[in-house]
Order: sequence, then structure tokens, then C-alpha cells
Amino acid sequence: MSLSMAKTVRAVLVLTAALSVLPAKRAAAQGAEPIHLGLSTALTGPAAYTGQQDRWGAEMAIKEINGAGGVLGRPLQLDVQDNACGPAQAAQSAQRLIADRVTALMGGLCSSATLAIMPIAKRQGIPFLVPISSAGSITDQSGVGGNEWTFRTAQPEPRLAAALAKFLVKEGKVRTIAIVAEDSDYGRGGATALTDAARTVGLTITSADFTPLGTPDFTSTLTRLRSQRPDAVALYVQGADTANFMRQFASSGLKTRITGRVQFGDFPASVVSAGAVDGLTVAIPYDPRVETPANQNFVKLFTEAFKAAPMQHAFNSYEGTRVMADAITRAGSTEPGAIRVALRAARYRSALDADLTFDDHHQSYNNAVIMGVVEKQVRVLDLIKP
Amino acid sequence: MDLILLGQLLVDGVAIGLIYALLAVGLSLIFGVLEIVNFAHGEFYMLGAMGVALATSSLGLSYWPAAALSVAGVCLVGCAVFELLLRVKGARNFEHSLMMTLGISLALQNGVIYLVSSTPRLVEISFSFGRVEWAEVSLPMPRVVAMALSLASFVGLYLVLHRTRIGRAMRGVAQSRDAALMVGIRPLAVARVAVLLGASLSAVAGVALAPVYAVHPAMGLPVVFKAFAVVIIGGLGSIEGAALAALVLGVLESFAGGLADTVVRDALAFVLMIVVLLVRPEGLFGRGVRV
Repeated sequence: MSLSMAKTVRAVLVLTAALSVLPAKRAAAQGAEPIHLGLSTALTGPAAYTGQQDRWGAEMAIKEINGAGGVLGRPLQLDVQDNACGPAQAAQSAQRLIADRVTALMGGLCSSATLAIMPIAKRQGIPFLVPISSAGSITDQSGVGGNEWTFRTAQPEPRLAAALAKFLVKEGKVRTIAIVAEDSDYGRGGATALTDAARTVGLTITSADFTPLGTPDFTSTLTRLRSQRPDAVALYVQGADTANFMRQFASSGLKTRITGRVQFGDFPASVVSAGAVDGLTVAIPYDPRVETPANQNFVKLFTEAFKAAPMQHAFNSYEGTRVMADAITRAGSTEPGAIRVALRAARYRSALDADLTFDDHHQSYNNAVIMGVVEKQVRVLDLIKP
Repeated sequence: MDLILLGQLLVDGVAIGLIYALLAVGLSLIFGVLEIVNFAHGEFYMLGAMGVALATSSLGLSYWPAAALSVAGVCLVGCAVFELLLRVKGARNFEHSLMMTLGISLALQNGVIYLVSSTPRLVEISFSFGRVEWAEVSLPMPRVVAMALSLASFVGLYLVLHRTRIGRAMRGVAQSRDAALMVGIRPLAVARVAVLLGASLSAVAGVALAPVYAVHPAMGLPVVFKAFAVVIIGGLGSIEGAALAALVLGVLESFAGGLADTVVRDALAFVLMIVVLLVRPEGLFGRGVRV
């Protein structure tokens, strides 16, 4: 055997050994007892659409983690319970997941649901990660606020509102704002946050309307706003309500700007291309158009897997699940206390170019994405560290 | 007071009142003939809208053929629901029928979530952002079309009820089931047509609102409760009562939402219902003049 031949054989053997290790590691992970992560989200009701994105985000993260060998040599398994975005059902869903012996809880989705799960996580001593709900009261109550088991990666509304108000003042086109918000912790949290932020920078809030979740018709509100003529309407509604509001706004002929927190995936592109919402400026936690390589890779894989563009719910749920998996890995066990300690020391590089670490209220702060519509085109205007 | 604002609120109110009327009249018709409170009525409305959304997006049809196909599809679902579930002997029992239609409602809603997901769908039409304007009062084109569809349906319903044998039979059964039996009217055939008419009116409401509202599986629930309130205000089983109460409610809601608050607007139907139940429990147009 010549020297080069011997080298080749050795290389093939090394390569074969290396390749055989990977599937073996994966097979070991697949064969072992899974680690259960519990997700409480809305699978029914008006918020089911966003709940579906929440679930997809978590599923995608878990598939990737399991594909890379799982956590502590064991596969992760997602257990999902419906909370329909209602506090009573959310409490029930959390209790059922805990009874099914999940290692950690995630989700909540709607702020009202999350606030109902928090005391249960505290009482039962189970880590609870909140990747989507944005009401300020969640942060107030977490960590040194009293609930040591709740951690949040979702952007709290006050930070988003502060970033938005700062940007609007810099732009100099808006002085008066009318708020339209859903009657939930999310909507009321958004309205309060924007009112406080506006006061700080000298903007005037002219009115605040609170609409029940699942409101299909905003005509009378739009008619009133037409006679009030504010410079901007700040919108804090979600899912189908956004689609209804935006389309009715576009066909109402109302000449004012939209601001607040609007997800572009929630309403049809035709509203933008019709030129009805030019000047729209919103601060949101996420948009798939953010051009960091990590985000573009996430968008590509997500779209391939689910044949739909990711919304912030999917992105936040994906990153939240990864933060939780990372904490379990660093904890070295599925013991809840050890995971809580590991979460406190977490450092996760987000695809939005910020390092996520938890403060004493167990809150991490990602960059706020300032989005706008300029000449019938949606654009990322800025990434602002709140 | 700003006259343009008042005029706009009145026009908006009439537009939505006509849609409430379509839903409430169908509900009232089914109650009048079958004495069933149909909790699945909102789902016929949802299926009508969903049919248009699917036919335009998946089959590539334009709005009007999609609308016709959708109403035909909902009629088939209505027929199936009647033949398989409502005509069974037990359904004559009032409580049984309540539970049955509630079950049908949940099955249809979750069936749609299972088959097409809960993602809201938006029906795009060529006149989506058009408007009809008169003296600064404007109405978006999709709502003008919805109004026209509602009015056309009422004319059709009037002709069926007053100019056809089956329509007269339906009114007969609604007035007195025993008397109708004695003169040889077959209640089963009449009930079948009543369900078909009720379902198709509801489907037309869904079809009319598909370009106005986001279409999703849960969209039927809020409107069906409002339709119940309207039917109770108008008088259970009274078509004229339901139509008039719906129109008045639409206008009152528009004024409440425009001049007061959205919460007041949404509570209005149920506050009126409670007042009517206290003062005139048989409804404004009671049983005496039904159908």
C-alpha cells in the first residue's frame, strides 16, 4: 500500500467514524425519554391565527434542536394546550400541562392569559418563559416584582412606545394622536404606554377607544375620527381585528397616518399598494424584512416549513424556545430550580442584533423595529435599542 | 352638531342594519317554522364568507361566481344538517334542539379550523377601495354591494313567502302547525324549505360581508348573538319584526359608536333586548303577526 493510499484509507475511516457519531448521537437523543416543554396558546377563538404562529415557532426551534442532538442527550417534545386567550382557560391549560409533568411552561400569547398563568407557575415552582405577551404589568410582577419563576423575552409595551414616540418627534409630522385599542391587557397596556411616552416627549393624545376582542366593524369609530382629524391613529389590536381595521380605514377615505403597533402580516398588501396608508410609522418587536443574516435564514427556513411568512409571534416563540433549551442545557438537569438559575444567567444572541440577558425583573430587551410605509412600499426605517 | 357626521352615521347604520336583518330574518324563519333556536346560524354566515374566500383564492374565481357557488354550497350544508340532524324525532324537543344546534355550530367551526386553518382570509375585489360619495357623506363600494345584495334577498324572500305555494304553506305552519296539518300541508317539506331559506339568507350575509370583514372560522359567533337579540326584540318568529328591529339596531349602534363609545355600541343590542323582555316579553311584533 502506498503512502497516499494509506492516507486516503485513514481519512475515509476517520470520516466514516465521524459521520457515524452524528447519527448515533441523534439516535440516542431520539431513543431517550423526551423532555416535555408545555406551550399554552390560543388554538381557538379570535386569536387562533396568532396562536398558530406561536406554535409553529416553538415547533421549528424544537425540530432544529432535536436535529442537532436534543438537550442533555434527550429529545425535546412540545405539549400544547389551548387557552383561547382567556384567563380562565389559560389557568386550566397551565394546570393540565403541569399535571402532564412538563419541565417548563412557555407561551400565554395574550397578556391576560399570561397574567393568569404566572401565579400558577409561581405556586408550582415551574419556570415560565413569556416570549410574546407585552403588557407592562408582566414585567412589574416578575423577578424582584415577586414572581421568581416568570421570565420574559417579549418586548414590554412601554419600551416599544418610547422608541416610537422618540421616532415620531424626530420625524416632526405628528403632534396629535387618537388611540384605537382592543379591550384587553395588550390593548390597554399599549394605550397606557403610548400615553405615557407621548406625555414625556410632548405629543397630545386626543382620544382612546377600546374595542372588544374580535370586533369586525370599526366604521363608527372611523367616522368619528374623520370629524376629529387627529394627525395619527395609534392602533393596538391584533390578528383579524387588524385586518378589519386596516381595510375599513383604507376604504373610509380618512386622511390621517397610522401608528402604534401594527403587524404587516395581519392585513392585506393591497392596502399598502393602494396608497391608503402612506406615512404609516409603527414600532414593532419583529418584521421578517429585517435584513440581518440570522433573520433572513430564519425566514427562509420558516417559510419552507410552514408555507407562510413568520410573524412576530413565530419569531419570538422560536427564540424563546431556544432560550429555554439553552437554559436546560446549561442547568445540566431538568430540575426546575436549576433551570431558573440558568435562565437568570442567560445570554442569547438574537437575530435582531441584540444580546438577550435578563434583568432583576427577569426581562430581556431586544431591539425595537421601526417600520414605515413610504410611497406604497413597506420599509424597515430603523432598529432602536429601547 | 355636525350634520355631515350625523348623515354619515345614518348611512353607515342602514348599511350594517340591512346585514343584521338578513341574519335575523333567517333565524326568525327557522324558529317560526321549526320552533328551533338555531345556534348554528352564525356558522352558515361564516361558511358563506369562507366559501367566497376559498373560491376566489383557490379556484381563482371572480367575486360573483364565487358568491353564487358559496351560497349553493351553504344550501347543501343546510340540507345535510336538516336531513341528518334536525329532522330526527328528538329534535322536536326544544332543549334537545338547543344542544343539537350548539353542537352543530361547534362542529362546523372546528371543522373549518381543521380543514382550512384559523388564518383570517381577505377577499380582494376590484372595487375594494372604491367609494360612493354624496355631499361629503361616503359609503365604501363593498358596503354598497352588501346593501344591494341584502335588498335583493328581501325582495326574493317576499316573493317566495307571498307568491309561491311553499311560501304560503310556510306561513301557514308558522301560524298554526295543527291547522296546517289539517288542511294537508306536509310540515317536513315546509321545514326543509325553511332551513334552506334561512341558511341561504345567512350565506348571502356572509357573501356580502366577505369583502368588508376578515373571514375566519370564529366570525359567526358575535353576529349570531346579535341576531338573537334582534329576533327577541322583534318578536320570536316574526320576520317583519326581525327586519325592522335589525335596521333600527344598526342605526342606533352606528350613532352610539360614533357619538359615544364602542363599548356602548356593543352593549346596545343586549340592553334593548333586556328592556323588551321586561316591558313586552313577546317582542315588539309578538307572535300574532309572525311570518
